[in-house]
Amino acid sequence: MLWQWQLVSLVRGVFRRWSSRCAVLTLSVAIALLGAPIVAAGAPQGGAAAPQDTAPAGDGAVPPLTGPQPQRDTLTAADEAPGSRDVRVSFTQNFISDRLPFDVPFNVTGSVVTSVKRLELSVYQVRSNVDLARLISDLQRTVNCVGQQPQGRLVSQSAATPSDTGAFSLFVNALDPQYYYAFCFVGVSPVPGADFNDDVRRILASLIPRLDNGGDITNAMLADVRSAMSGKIAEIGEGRPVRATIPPGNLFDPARPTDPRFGPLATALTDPFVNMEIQQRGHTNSVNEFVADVADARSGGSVRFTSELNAALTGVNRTLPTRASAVTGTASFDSAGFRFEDAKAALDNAVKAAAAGSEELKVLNGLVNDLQEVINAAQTYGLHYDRMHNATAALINFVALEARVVTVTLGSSVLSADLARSAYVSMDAGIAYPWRLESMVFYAGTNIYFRPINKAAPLRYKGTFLHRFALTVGITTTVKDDSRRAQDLRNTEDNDTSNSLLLGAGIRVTPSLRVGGGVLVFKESDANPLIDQTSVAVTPYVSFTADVDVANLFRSLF
Amino acid sequence: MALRAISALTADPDSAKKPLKNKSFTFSVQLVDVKASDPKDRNLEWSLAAGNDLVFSAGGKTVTRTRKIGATAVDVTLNETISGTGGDAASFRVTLRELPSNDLAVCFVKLEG
Repeated sequence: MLWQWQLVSLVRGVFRRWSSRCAVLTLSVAIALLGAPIVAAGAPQGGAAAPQDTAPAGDGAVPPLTGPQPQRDTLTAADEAPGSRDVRVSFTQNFISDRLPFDVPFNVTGSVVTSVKRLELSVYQVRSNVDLARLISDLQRTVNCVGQQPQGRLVSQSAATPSDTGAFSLFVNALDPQYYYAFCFVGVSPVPGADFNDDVRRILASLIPRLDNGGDITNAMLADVRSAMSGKIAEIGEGRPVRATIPPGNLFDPARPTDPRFGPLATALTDPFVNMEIQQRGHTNSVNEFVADVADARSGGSVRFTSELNAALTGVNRTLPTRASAVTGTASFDSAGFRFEDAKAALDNAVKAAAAGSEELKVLNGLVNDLQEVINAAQTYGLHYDRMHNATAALINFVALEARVVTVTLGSSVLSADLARSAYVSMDAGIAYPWRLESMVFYAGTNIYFRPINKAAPLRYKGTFLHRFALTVGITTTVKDDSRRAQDLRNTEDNDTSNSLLLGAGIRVTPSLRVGGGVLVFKESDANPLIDQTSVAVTPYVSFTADVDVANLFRSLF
Repeated sequence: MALRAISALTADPDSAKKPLKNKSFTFSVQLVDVKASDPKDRNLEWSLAAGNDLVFSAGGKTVTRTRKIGATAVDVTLNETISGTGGDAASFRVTLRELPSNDLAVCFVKLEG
């Protein structure tokens, strides 16, 4: 209990002095030495809840910098409990109001319009040599916030699906302190198929002939056609008011040279395409034969061509729809229109009216067979027409485009002036063993880091040398060593405490425990008892200390 | 007088894994000649495309069968085995024609692997 009482007394004494002189001096010197960028600390602050907003802007224009309101910058809320606080993002402001936590992962949250089905986030660290305006401009010209290596260092990427109400939460890796960051969001919305299906059908119709070279469908042919389709679909996306791209993993994803799903789909298109040509040839021959036989019958004079029969036969040479229309059109084959019921009925009536065994009956029966051949050819053509039409629909189902709206907003992990002091400087208290003195001493000290420290960040996760190393300036309890004639360097006016100076450095071995070493500065009386003079002496020490939560300590002391 | 296919030429199975080793297929189609007064023998040739190494069981690219077909539609089938690596083909082509040169129907059989 004695050492605890001594420690509390020491800390009380130290704080009393620091409150008046020492602390201000020590911290000012320390920060001046470190060259901490406290000038920048006033920049991106905020606190008032920004209105949560609509979809990211989609016109690619860089919105003007909107100034958020000053924020309350504390470590406790933002940094000390990882995951306990989300950083709100508003797309109506292009500067994130809250200072970004550092050294711990966190989430950015906000809301987008419900048409956004996926939100992607890329975070770039903006170093001093990066032209911020150019970085924003570069990023906004991309469709994925990556493009061709924009300036800045990509430090985090994540994606999420917004909720039904548009709310989103995106993970961000632990960021370094004292930097500005560009947050590049991509709002991904599916483009309705109705917007591009007609174009895709036309593209498909123009490419299918490449799959028919009179032989097999080779893998090379498939790759060629798929690649051409992919390119054309990508062009459609490029040409949209809001640029759209083929989704990753899609059948026509240009990132992949082949897709095993394409072969069966292409074969299902090519098969009817080839057969339609055969049937079309047969249909043409049949129609020509029918027309020629009708002409012969007329000239022969054996058949009575009534006005009803003439009218009915006129439509038989109706042209078949083209093969391309099976792809570009949305209607099935007009099967009823090519059954020529009127012509059949008219011919049947003429057959019934013809005398048995007559030349007229023989000619009419020939025309009936001719017509049936025309009908067969047309119907078989129609069979393949519908197969092709259905195969087209199956393939079109795989075509997808995603509109990608890129919005860039800036954030900062630059600490405010007040916070920078506590982030660079910490207190600790513990015991030191001076090498050449009789007893150990208690001391309280100030640790001066060369970078801001977030003690909530696990050292295992963020434990570089600069996360652990600090210079130490401390004040000890009473130093007494008769053998060395050691005395306190300085006594207080009321003599209730006395201190010597401790100068050194230490390494954090856990978030709060540190080992250190350095020199203890004390007064030493002269070895000759007749000489009443003292001199300043030093001795090495090793120490074992615990970091002190300054805020909590203050609360407990005052 | 002309023979016509009035259905699609189908293959069963409609896909196979490469390479084919005496892989059995059944090809079916409906044929008719509406102007034929009586059924008569037709020489039907089934052929594989020249661009691959696939062959029928006899080792040739074609097989020929004779079928009696008239004005009534007839289901014509061919049971044959096919062998070969398939080369670069993603789907191989089978063509049915009435000799000497009347193409009737075509089908493609998908090749996997």
